[in-house]
Amino acid sequence: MFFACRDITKSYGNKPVLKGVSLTVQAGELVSVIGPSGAGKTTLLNILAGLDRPDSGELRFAVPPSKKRPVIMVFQDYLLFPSMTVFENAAFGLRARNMKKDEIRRRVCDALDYFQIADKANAYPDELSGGQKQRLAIARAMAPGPSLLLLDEPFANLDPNLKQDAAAFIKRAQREFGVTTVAVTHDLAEAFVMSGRIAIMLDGALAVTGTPEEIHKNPGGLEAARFLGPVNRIPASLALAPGPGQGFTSGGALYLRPQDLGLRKDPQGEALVQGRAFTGRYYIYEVALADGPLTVHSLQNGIVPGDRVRLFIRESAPAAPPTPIKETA
Amino acid sequence: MRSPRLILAAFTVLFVLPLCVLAGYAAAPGWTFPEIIPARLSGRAFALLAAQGPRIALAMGGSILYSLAAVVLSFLLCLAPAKLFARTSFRGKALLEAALLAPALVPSMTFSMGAHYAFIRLGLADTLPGVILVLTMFSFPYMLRALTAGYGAFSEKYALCAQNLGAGPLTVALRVELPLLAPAAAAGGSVVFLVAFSEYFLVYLIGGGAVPSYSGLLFPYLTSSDRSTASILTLLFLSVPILLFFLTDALLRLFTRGSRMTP
Repeated sequence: MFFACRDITKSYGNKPVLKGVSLTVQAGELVSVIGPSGAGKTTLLNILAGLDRPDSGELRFAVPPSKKRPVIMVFQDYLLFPSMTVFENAAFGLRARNMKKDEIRRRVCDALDYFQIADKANAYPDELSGGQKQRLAIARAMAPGPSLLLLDEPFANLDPNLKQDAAAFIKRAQREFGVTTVAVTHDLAEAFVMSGRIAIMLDGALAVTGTPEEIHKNPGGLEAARFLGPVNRIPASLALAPGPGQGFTSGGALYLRPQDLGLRKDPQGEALVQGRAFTGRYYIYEVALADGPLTVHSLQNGIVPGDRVRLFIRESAPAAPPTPIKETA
Repeated sequence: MRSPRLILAAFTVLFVLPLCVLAGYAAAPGWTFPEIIPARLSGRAFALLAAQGPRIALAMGGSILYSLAAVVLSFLLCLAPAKLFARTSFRGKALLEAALLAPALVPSMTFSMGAHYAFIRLGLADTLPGVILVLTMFSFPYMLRALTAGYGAFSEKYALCAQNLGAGPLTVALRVELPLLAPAAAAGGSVVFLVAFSEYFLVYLIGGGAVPSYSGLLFPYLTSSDRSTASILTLLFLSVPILLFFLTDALLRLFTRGSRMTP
């Protein structure tokens, strides 16, 4: 164990933000806490960083943090010091530790080299691109050799096309430096790419923890499943029989991912398509059934409003463990 | 195109023409309406300026000294309350803020009556520290407003970030917060300097004539019939804020190295 928090609670005024969070992280792990805005992720990170104190609960490190083994956080807006050059920013933590000039120069140059911003050493933060700013913020945090690195929304200020590259870069750097890392983000794809383990935080509590694959297959609850992506709720009256390991059932209803559910044109079909919208990755169909309207997220194309359709479960749908889930929403 | 020309014309009429008139008076004491061009030039005022050089320099030096001291003192005094007002919310905040800003709203004559009595009792009347203190008390609201806005313009997370990187409170204050605060401090400092530098009544009352001041030197000339000397002294008076503007700009560039603040 590197650190463990047990039943951490935190309230601001009368508003509870963390409601008994327990999380254990092993040395060298990269764990991402994902969840919607306002779920309490950053509060948890602030507590781990020592910038805030929990109201109750326990945070225990195997080796307590110290100036030599610090916990360093990379803030969401990077907070690069605007009056300092890239070099001075990266050297800030080392100078704060009164290191010798030669040692500072060596470590900063190594860090800037690794993070591919050595040619910008004399530039100021406002002369850097978004990706460079992020790399500088991480380089500045890594230079003092933290025992725990905390990343607060590391992709929030990046262009969408840079996010995946940044996630891969962070994963590579984390492995190479071997520093235990906890990131909080609501960028799911990036969290899945870079993390060894993921914890989903909803409304101040951790809903589920596991590897990205485990989380995807078994999100542990409908709310968490919905946070990971759209879920189709098929009423029991439709009597669609899922194949082995497909979808989740709850309260007689069946829950399927868009890729698992298809629509087929059928004049005798049980549903009438009333609307269609393309999200870029899948379609959202508004269909009317005998017992009410239904929103269907599907990859199916070629169906237009006015068509009668039949719903079916795709044979090619990837198998998922048949874990019944609790309906929480 | 029309708008910049209009601004330039307004600038010329409001600022440049009066200066030309002052320069005209300085060189031609007898210049009067309806003469468009002065009929006779005289170097008398310049000769007087040269003859009284040491006295003028002393007055100018005194004014600059107590004005700069008021800037430094008001800056130091306002740091903590400005941070408090910008960063925290508490009961009675608006009332306290209004009370601290009150000296700027009260006429200096009203303000000085109570202050003078207290300064005599404290032994600060007729002294340079007394003048510095009274000017600071009178002008610090301008600094307070500027610094409060300055603290509000950058996130308190900069300090948290520096602290998280291992910096102590002094390093956080000097290396992180001060450069971020520099533009606001420069703005507030400029106003405090100008208020202190142009203040006549408070300096006269509290300084009691023992503290050399440029406004004290200039005032009798302004009320006299010697327009020529008054004009040249006024132009000299004006040169200080202009020099201050360029000096502040240069210092600010050096201090913040021309970088912009990230949100």
